[in-house]
Amino acid sequence: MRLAHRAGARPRPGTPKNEPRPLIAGRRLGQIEEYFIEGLAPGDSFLFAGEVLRLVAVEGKDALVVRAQGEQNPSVPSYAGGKFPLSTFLAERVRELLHDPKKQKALPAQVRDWIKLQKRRSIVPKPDEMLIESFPRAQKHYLVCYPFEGRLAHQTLGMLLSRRLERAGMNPLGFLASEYAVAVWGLEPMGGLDFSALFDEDMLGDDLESWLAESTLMKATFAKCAIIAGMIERNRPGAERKTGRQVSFSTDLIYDVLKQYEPDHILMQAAFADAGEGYLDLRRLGALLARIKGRIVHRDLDHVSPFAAPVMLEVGRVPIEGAAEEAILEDAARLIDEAMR
Amino acid sequence: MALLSRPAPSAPRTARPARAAPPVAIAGDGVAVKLGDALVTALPEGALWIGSAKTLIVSDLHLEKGSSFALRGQMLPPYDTFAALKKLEALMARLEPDIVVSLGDSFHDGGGVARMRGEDRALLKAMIGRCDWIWVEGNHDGRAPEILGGVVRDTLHIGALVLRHEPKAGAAPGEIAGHLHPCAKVSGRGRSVRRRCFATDGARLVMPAFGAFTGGLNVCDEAFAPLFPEGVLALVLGKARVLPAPWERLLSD
Repeated sequence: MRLAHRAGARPRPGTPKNEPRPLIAGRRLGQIEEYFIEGLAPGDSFLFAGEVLRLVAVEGKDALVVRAQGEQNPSVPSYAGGKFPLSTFLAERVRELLHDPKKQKALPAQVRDWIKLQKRRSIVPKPDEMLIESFPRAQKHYLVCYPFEGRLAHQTLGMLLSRRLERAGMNPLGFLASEYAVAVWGLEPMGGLDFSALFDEDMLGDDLESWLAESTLMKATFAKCAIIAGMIERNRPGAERKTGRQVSFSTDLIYDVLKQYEPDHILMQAAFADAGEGYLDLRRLGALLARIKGRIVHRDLDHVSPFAAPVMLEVGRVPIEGAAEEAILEDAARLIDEAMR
Repeated sequence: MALLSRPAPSAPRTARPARAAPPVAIAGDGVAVKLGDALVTALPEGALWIGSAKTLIVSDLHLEKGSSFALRGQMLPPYDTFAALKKLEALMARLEPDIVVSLGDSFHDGGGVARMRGEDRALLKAMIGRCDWIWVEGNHDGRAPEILGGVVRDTLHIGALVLRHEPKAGAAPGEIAGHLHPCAKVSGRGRSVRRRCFATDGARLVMPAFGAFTGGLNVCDEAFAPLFPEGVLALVLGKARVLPAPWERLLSD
């Protein structure tokens, strides 16, 4: 799942010596975004892990480098936004940084302005608070919260939140988790909800397994397992579509049938094992829920806030197949009803 | 709730003249459609009910599709037959039809009948024994199903209605057919929902596929255009109800 999102994050070994001998495999220095390396020519230098390195060659998934001393103007690698994993320590320092203007002097002017704008449009929460914003946008209603606990914990939180919102009749349509925020959107305005109840620690006992089993994330994981196992073929683009006899089959159908009649099928076990590693971080989520108890601040806005704007642009939206889908069908049906009067 | 504005379509579709919707009415959790003078009811399970003749119609069961693929080395969980039969059995218990029509492609291939598991075969035979059962022949299954009971026919007439597996080219008022596995992609609120549907224009109707592993063809696809020259109404299978979907909200795949 992560590789599909972060296309390009692959291991890159490097050589520690100064000799330009790229064929000698050396110590692996770390990982870097593929698109960044592709923008460099052999001989260009860049900063990495506290060192200045010069690119020698790219071989397959490996970028071979040597240490370069005294280079002027090395490039600075950037990471596709929101994918730089946050440790709890780093997260805390970021929260402090956001709240205290005195600590922001080293930031670029645009970032300082962005934070100032957030203060004006909404608020910048204190380091121990968690901010929740609600606003309408594009015929949907959004709820965005900023826990700063990392994508995995946020993915778990997103799943649990959407379950609770579904139960509360809020018709959630989807959610998205980034490294510092979780956004949920649906058909109903969510500003009036009781947030301390919504984020209560009892959420962790909330039947997470059965909700996960119904979710589209689970079906996507199962699809990958089915492809690896050779049960189905990956769809080839441009394959001719048959109009008469429909011979293709979708893994969603297979998943539903297996869930009902053979839930301990080995591919189901594999899919759940993958999901357990890839989507859930209950420990960190538990720590978050304890930390923010009684410290939630909420702002109901009439449009998107500066802090929420980057989250809107993230990839990786998880659709929710719940009552909201039926509501969309019913809404369309109403058009016919009115047309016929 | 106010009408939402029309979203931009995600893919180009053939331009068709706008047309008044064919006469449909909500009937419980189904939708009643007038085909000519006859009244039929589309049910959320994907079956059609003709109340006046106490006839239940299902189409494209594709039983033993899983085992058919298994013969070719493509392993699929072999529960599709059981799932389809249980769904049909529940419908029969609820409606108590005098006649059940399986509208073609009942078995995925000619060897399907022989490959059935014992329990599934017994279940199907019991269902066939409860009423008049008609297999309307499709291009897959030939006469094989007769071993289980019931009668095989090319076409079936019920009053002014004509039931056949594959829709006839050209106009065919009163026709109920299958074969095409219609699906509709309905847009709304910046999101689309793709479901199986009945496709009708008030003159003829194409049924959704009933079987468990069957795929679907979008009603916006060119295969449907010659059948519904003046536009098509999609009756979409929601979780608990059938919902009509207006042409303006339909997207191609």
